[in-house]
Amino acid sequence: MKKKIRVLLTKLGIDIHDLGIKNLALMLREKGMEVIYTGLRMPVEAIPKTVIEEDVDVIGVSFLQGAHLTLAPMLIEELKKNGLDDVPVIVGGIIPRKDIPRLKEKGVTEVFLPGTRFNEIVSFIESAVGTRAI
Amino acid sequence: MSDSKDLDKLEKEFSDWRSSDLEPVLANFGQRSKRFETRSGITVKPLYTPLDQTRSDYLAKQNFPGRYPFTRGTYAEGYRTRTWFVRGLFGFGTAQETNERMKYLLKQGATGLNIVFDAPTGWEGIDADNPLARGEVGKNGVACNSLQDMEDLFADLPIERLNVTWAACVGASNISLTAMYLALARKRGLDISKLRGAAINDVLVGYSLNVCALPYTHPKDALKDWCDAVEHAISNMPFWFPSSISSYEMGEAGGTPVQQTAFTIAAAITYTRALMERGIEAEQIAPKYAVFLSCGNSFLEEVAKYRALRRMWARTFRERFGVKSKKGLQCRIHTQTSGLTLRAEQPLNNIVRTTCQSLAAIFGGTNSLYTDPYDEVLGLPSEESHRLALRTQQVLIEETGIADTIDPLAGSYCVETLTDQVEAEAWKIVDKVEEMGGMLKAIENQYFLSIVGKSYHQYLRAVEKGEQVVVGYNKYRHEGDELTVDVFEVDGEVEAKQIRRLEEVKARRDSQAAVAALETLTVLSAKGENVMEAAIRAAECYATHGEIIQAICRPRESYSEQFRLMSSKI
Repeated sequence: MKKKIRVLLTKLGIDIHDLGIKNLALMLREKGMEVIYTGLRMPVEAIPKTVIEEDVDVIGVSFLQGAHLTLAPMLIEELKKNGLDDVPVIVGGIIPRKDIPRLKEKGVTEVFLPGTRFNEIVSFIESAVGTRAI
Repeated sequence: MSDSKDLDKLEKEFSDWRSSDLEPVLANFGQRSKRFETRSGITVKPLYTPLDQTRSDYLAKQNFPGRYPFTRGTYAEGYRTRTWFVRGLFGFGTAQETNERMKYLLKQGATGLNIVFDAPTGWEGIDADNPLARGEVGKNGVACNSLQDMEDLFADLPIERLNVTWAACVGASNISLTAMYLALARKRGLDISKLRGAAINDVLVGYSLNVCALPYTHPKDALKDWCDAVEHAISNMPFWFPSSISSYEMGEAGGTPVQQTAFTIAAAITYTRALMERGIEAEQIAPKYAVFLSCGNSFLEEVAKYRALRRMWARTFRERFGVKSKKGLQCRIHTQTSGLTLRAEQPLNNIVRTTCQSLAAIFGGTNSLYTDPYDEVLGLPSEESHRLALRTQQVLIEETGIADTIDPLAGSYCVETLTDQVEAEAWKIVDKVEEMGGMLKAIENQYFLSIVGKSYHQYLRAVEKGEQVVVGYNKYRHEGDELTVDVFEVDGEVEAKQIRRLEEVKARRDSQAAVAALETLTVLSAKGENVMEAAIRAAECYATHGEIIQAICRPRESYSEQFRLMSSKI
């Protein structure tokens, strides 16, 4: 049997806009993925432990309050420190287009802007996880 | 109000029209949609007639504007003397930067000001130097950490003549920010009883959705903080609305117009009871409320929502609480168009959406309106898009004539019927909350979170399947459509700047006085007494926002873990 893709979805810092990420969680579950959603206000420092414990294939984090340029690089750093830099990190939310290269430079795998269809995210996760040795 | 013979004739004619004229065409061409429904799921008929309103007693159900049950409007004059408050909503960076924007918008014709605080200030109640605030300072609102910031925020502005609304602040955070504003007024030698304004301070909506609430405060303690601010305003500030019931958040979390309406009433009941337990009479409490609604795309139902809500509000306060005064029965409503409906693809389409939503709110009889800038979905709105939003309302007021007669859609068979239906559906939810034992119980049961979540998820699925059209997203897409809008960018240095300002304030102040004032605050909080006056004194000593809130919360159990846990449920 094919192993289910395990996705960690999280909200970092104090951004309380969780409507999008919760609905993404439901959609990914409907597509047969295993979704671990942490809820709001996760400290960046707590993510690596969850990644290891839950054996996740991909991390998704959403920003709608403008803290992406601060918190996404902090998350990547934290993953590196724990030898988890091979886990793809995808970012979604209200991200000005010109910030996308800045995020990718820091190690974010992909950025999804408002207007993205859920299916695009699903296919991206499938291919990103597929190319990674499981 | 026709007699029964007329009705019989009408019914006969109607059924003849249906079978001979309408149905053959529908059968021949097919209808363009499988179901016609409002956003709340109310079935929309092809035609409404007097037959839908046969039991309508005009005086009992609608009456004249400004008369019970206020269906046709809060006030007798409608928009004839002046229109709704045309509000600007803003706040970014430091107090000085926001002060400049306020002066600009007032010059452009805004008649009210909505000030948004940044997330650390409003939703967390922490200062800029708290590590949790990283990346958030001054981003989605203005940072306000002490009386010094409040002084800079209102520099050169005559606060005795302004009508100010605080957005994004709740419970203890509202106590602290209001205290700073009152400290500023006293410092200028003003009589606080003259100040006009409102605080969007709804603790129940925050916990109901498990989002906009101080995460470390237990809902019952937050309700206590809410009561303190309202009680203080009842005694001292006749023109201040210390609590806007913020059903707006329900709408923006994906809730339907019916759910928004129901939440408003259920919350009003719980709040009123909490204050009555302090020995305050409902007659004094009721005039202190305002309501804050979101207005979405379901145009006719949105119009009906306002009319139904005013009627339910009046009935609730008269029948349940025995309120007699007109002011106590009038539901005062501020509206913001629905940011949730705005789309990033083909963003200029959003101007059309917010115009229609503004129109619905006006037909509904809103008392105050903020139109969202079309680029809000792409980032922080620019000065130009703020001005365009303002102009949208100005065109509606000055050029269309829609504000010239009061409640123009009244008597529409459709709108009156929808008004009745929204009311009936909303009462069902209110009754359910009452059966649970009020809003605190509903929060524990995550009742609103679950019904709102369910209805929004259903909506999204309909969008994904293409059953619900979103122009530019799942229909009329324009491939290669780049987002070329220039979004506003907050100065990258704002966080460092704000931390520096905070350090300066702490270095300059009389520390002993600040510490003593904070200790008094903690003592009063531990005793469960009203902390408002003590908070004003602490603010006068330049105690910071974070310090004031910590002083209030120190004697309490923390809710943080429970908050996070509840937020993780989907």
